[in-house]
Amino acid sequence: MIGTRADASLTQPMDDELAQSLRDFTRAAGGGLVIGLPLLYTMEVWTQGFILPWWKLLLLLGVAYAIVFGYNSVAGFRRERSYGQLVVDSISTVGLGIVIAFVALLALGQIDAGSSLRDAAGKVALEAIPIAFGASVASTQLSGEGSDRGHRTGPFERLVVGAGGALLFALNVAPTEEIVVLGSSASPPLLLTVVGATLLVTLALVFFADFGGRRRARGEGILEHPWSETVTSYAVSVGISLLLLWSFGRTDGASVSALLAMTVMLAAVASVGAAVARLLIGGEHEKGEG
Amino acid sequence: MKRNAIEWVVLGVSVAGIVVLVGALIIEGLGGQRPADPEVEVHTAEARQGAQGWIVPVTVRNGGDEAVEAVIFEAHATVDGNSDASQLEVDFLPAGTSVEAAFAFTAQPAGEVTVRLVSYRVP
Repeated sequence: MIGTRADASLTQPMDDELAQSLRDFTRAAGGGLVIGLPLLYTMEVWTQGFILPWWKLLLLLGVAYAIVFGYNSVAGFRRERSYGQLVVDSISTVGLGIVIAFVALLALGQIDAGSSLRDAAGKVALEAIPIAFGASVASTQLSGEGSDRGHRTGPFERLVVGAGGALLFALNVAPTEEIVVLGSSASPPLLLTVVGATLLVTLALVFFADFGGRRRARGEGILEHPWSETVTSYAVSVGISLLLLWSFGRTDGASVSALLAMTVMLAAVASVGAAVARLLIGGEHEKGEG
Repeated sequence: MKRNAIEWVVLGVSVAGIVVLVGALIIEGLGGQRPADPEVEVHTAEARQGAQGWIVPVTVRNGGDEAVEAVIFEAHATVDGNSDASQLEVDFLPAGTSVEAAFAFTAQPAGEVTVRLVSYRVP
């Protein structure tokens, strides 16, 4: 993702290379802000930042790093990179998210001289996650160079990328009160309808709606069939939803039925995020055989 | 692959950001688990006459390691020989953070302003 161009060697190779790096990081920062701004302006995220226990914040940061790493390794295929370079690039991405989150929270007055270290660190940790995702997407997908043609993503890679999309979308609603309201007011028949609708919508989005190129599964492996990919992606989304609900303390003292309802409602959002992410990364860009 | 100057700078700043953030969370997390302890510091010297009464600025601080919300304080003072009360609610009070606020009375109180904690909620 963040890197140099191999073809920047015409007249002033060094200057071109620096200019390109500067452009890469500016694009990454821009992508981070685009994705991160809604959550930077969300009060529940600020309050969760100082309410959540420190180890939960570290766990969320760790999950975010793992997903950024997974996403960079799957989507950042415009140049060959070693495992070590991927680790370092992902550190740059997450670090960039942390620095941007800190500056943005300062600018918004949510961190000031009266803030304790714990308060500031908690807010930065939570807000850095969507910004890092945005930076990662901007530098891999929106670079306007390179091409994914000829590159075939496997089912596991698409699940990893789907998990990133699920976390990104679900993060926008998981901290809000709305998810508790939705969870407490839903009846079992309604929840079943939501599950069915979620599966249908994500199936249609990825395999039928024809966003940016045909996407057909070949049906070689058991996970390559449209239905099986949709269902496994839904399972990942449910897992991500549970992780977020637990992280934000929604599982504390919740009854099983309330937890189930909140999970179904949040997983609907997570699944659409996963579907969009799987569309971005693409898959088999030719007519399927099976 | 070689990294150029800009990439090194961004990497350096990134590593510093991660180390400071993770370090702060761990140090604060292991530092102590004192229960929430909302306290009020009354700035009598900065009290002044406002359009709607006598304003007494205060600083609200949480001396504990736990965040609390909906913190309610009540202040009492003697104004013109009668007891006068004022209430203050702070929505969120993170651990160690201070919030500027004020109590107000009908007129300048005689003697000291006493403050007591009424209630708070653990989020």
